[in-house]
Amino acid sequence: MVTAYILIISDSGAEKNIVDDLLEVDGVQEADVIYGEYDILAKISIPDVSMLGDFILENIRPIQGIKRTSTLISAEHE
Amino acid sequence: MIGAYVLIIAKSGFEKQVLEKLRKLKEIKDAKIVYGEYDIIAKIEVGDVSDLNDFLIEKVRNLEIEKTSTLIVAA
Repeated sequence: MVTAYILIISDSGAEKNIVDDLLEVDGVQEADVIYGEYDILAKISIPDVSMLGDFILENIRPIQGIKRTSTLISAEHE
Repeated sequence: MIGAYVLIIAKSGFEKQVLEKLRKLKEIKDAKIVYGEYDIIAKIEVGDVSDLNDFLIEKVRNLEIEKTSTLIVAA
């Protein structure tokens, strides 16, 4: 399994709805609204790093209100 | 309790050493080395904001670290 952290900048006011939507996605383990340079941080777990691109493009970025994502892939593989 | 994510840029070559030291701290709930603009992400839980300050300054920032960015959980 591969873990990745997705730092998300959202439309103003959409933060809580996005967190709710994220938590319904299979593979999202945690999602929190945060203060600082990003608005939301989600931790995801997927079987293989080759699936990460599709996972983010199909499951994360279409969520309404997400403006920008930055993905930090864990260097440890379980 | 407040939660926060600490995004860490480690001194080059010290990533694993910093990770091991972080994982020994009781406030650290999760810590992983990552690829990208930061080297390590740590999730922490502390009592309040003043504990967060003490924790970061006394326990985290005196490790082999170049830069930290702390994102406090809002809800």
